[in-house]
Amino acid sequence: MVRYITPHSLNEALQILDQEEHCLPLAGGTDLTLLVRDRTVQVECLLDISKLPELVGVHQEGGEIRIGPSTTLADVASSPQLPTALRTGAGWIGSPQIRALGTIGGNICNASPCGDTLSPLLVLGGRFRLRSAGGEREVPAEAFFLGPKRTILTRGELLVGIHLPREDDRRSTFRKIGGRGAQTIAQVNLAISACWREGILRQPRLAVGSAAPTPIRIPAVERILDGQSLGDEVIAEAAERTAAEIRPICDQRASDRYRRWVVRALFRDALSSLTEQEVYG
Amino acid sequence: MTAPFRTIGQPVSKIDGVELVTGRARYTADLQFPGTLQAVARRAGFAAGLLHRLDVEEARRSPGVVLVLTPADLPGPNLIGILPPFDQPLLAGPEIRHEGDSLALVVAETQDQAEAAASLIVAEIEPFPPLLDPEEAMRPEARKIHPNGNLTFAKQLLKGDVEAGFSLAEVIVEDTYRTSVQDHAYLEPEAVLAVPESDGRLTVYASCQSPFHLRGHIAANTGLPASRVKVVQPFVGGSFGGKDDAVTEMGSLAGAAALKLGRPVRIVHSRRDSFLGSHARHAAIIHLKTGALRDGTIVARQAEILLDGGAYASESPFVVMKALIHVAGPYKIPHLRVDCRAVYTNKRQAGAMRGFGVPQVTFASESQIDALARELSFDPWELRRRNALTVGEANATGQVFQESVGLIQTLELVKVEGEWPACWEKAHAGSNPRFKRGVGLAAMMQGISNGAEGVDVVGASVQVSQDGSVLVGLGLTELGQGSRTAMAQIAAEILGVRLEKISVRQVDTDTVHDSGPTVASRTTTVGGKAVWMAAQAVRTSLLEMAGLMFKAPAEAIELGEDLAYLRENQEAQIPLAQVATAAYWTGFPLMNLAFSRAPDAQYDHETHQGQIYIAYNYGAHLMEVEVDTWTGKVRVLRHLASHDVGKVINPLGVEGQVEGAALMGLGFAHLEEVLQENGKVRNANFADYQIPSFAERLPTRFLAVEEATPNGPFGAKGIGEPPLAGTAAAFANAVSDALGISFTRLPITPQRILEALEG
Repeated sequence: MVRYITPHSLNEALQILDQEEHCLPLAGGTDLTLLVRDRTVQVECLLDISKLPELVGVHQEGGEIRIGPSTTLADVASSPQLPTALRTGAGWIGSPQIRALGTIGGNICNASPCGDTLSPLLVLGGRFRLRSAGGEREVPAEAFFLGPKRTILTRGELLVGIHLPREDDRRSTFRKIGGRGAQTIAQVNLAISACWREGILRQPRLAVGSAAPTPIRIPAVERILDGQSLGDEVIAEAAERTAAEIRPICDQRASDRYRRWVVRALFRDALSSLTEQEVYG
Repeated sequence: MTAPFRTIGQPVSKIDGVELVTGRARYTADLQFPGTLQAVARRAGFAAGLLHRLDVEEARRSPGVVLVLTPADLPGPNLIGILPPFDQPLLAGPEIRHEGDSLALVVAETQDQAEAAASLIVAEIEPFPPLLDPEEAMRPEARKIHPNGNLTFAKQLLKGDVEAGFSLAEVIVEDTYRTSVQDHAYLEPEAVLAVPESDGRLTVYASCQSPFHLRGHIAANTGLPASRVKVVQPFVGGSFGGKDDAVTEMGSLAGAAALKLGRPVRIVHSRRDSFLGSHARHAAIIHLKTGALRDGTIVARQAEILLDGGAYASESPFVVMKALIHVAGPYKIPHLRVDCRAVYTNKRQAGAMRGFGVPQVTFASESQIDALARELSFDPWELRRRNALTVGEANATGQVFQESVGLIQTLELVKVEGEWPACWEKAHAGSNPRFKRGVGLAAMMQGISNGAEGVDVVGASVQVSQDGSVLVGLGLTELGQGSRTAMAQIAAEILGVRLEKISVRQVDTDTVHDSGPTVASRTTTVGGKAVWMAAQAVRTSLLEMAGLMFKAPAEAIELGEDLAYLRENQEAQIPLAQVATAAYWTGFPLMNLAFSRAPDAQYDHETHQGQIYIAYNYGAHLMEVEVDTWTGKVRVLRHLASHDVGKVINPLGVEGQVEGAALMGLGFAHLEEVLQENGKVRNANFADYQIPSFAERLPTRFLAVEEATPNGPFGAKGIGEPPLAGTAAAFANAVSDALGISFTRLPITPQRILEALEG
């Protein structure tokens, strides 16, 4: 029998995580409860962190935005102060029912390479604050993921905050392809952010999900695009390079070849949307 | 009865619609009986092998477990199937024939306990290299999956002289077409609940499609006489052909366990169980050759069809016959030779699924008609029109209908409404380098009734109470297709009562004649005829009683709006409730049990020439698509679906059936494929097996053609299955047209589209 614990504060939650041997934090439970039900995950107690006020909500703090990890995907998708790529990514996950329960922290800590908030967080300069009974650290989003379902979280450590720098002149966008038009797991997803002024793209960041064991940035393409005015040649080169840089697998959802083909389309579509102009190349 | 009708042809909401959308409808998994136990089957997990040892001792000692059933514990023959000799064991061993074979049934106080215990069963299996390719399974040296070899069933259709036909041909086209395994993907997975009664009988509540079939197998496998078994069908969340064999297995096992324990036993499949342990659509390999004259007249067609039946025969024999008869399409082809076989492989078994072999062969046939049109430089619509079956023309089995052949009308409707060929020219006028448009046509037919599958009988009951309300019973089942509503409309029309006064009860095998399976789009046609007959008998009582009350002959009286009235003086009315009360006290029968029997199929079993189906549904589809050549994604811009349904009983019901079948056809043609690797299903869940969602809903517009058949109530013919095949074939032709590439394999997924484009 699995025990279910509702802590009254973040500190209490961290104490429990510290003391309990096989305890997992539970937020929306849209992934975790299935794993527990199927006995894929062996767990003795579930710690419900979904209602802890310290972990819920979107807050503007000085030069950054702080998102509580227990904020639901539905709330992330409908928070106007959040960048477009993150809102769009969150809105693409599952169904309305899933988004009403599932949380952004859950999507991050589940560390599936196809998580639709992950590539946006990578291109938005996201940083994750991790806390345990013994202390706290902050890491860039890119350093957090180790592989499918694997992160740098250590025992007793909890994701307590997602921090995004406020960059008012940076635009971002998100694109995804799945088996169908909605309620679908990404075969590939892609996020771009950049400053777009006077026809020149500056400081672009590009990340792709479902294309490697973790969501990845593509620095080689970022270098190609930086300072460019996006002529057909540049775009063609960048699209091909994106396809070449990813390391997709072939599984029941899509072949590696298909993922490489469509990532070019996602890239072009994302760039069109970012710059509000048709992009071919 | 004189037109216009009061209820027939009116758009009425489902009579059980409120229950369904409010959650008040209770399904098998919702039913509560004190002391109910839960049971879970332990599955083999190997596609092929030999079970050397089955150790259930640890499972027996596991908390909450009250019983573990193994083959030795079963009182009956431990066999089920559709046609004798039955070949599917309830609990398998020693031969393992597919991954989903059940080895033992664990019965426990809770579902969790049963699942935990099932995982403790030790099954020592020596794996064999599985036979997965149907063509390989047919080789003489192949290992025999069943004692008599790997050929499940084979039939031939011969019409005219195919060699002579091809010798006349000026153009010949030939290709091989392939289709994949499609899952039923109903919302409600299979479920049964067996309740032992205090009088020694057994009641089995089952999410099933064919309760009488279930009753027979439960009786045989539990050792009870069939008359001591009652099967009740609660609300069912979809079946599409799927809830025959799997539920038969579950009902027999639950029944055996319940009788042994004296307690109710329930089995509810998980989605994974449903993928592994139920019966899906046959994958097909269809080699097709068609010969024509330069003027577009088709003179000959030859087909070899190979159906992958998986581990057990199930419905394979009947699917063989249906594919055999339908591969010629709705065309008058004088010379035909068709060979159709189903074979055993070490895969999930194939069985009945909406369309029943017709979607596979329609895709092949209609793809080839387009290929022929290209070869002849002929307009594809004209080519279909030129060869279309009409009244008085012999179809593939040589059967000639003198009425109810509305194919040309459906073709004309899609031509006019679709503005063919202008729409084709417009679609190809664009020059977008990324998005390509195309238009696809398909024509098809589908036999209504059991046809070559055997006798076609249905029982129905109609009883009128003294208050003028009506209870209708039928031996065929409501599976979501709206048959309850259609039956209520038929009874309401004949008895002159308002629809609200009619109840159509759930099927209960105690109360109505064995009506066979709910299949073959026959419920409205043959079942509706039985309700029509029973209602007519009770109507006679009401008219005679009203005649006595009016002091007028019965012929002068009409029934309608809950009233009896004089035809010539409609102000003279008596409430029907008063007539019914008087009829009861005067001694007129107010209940009738009717038995409808469709004309028997009469044909040569060697050549399949003769009278097979009592009617055909004919259809024509037009679909316009836009293909994204960067992603392979397809958007359906337009879909016209015209079918000759004889008579529309309920326009809303017909539209629902057409739209639902069309969406399933889109899944078959574009999205869905059960992936099996080394005999193991890789996508046994709805995250990886993606059916169309609301984002993929089609802009389907239904165009009715009503060429009445004398064999259905008010002329009606079934519509449940046909639009699936039409949609799938039109989709394939539309995508092929958009890209200028002939796709010969379904599903045409975005990935396959890019593979074809990128080379």
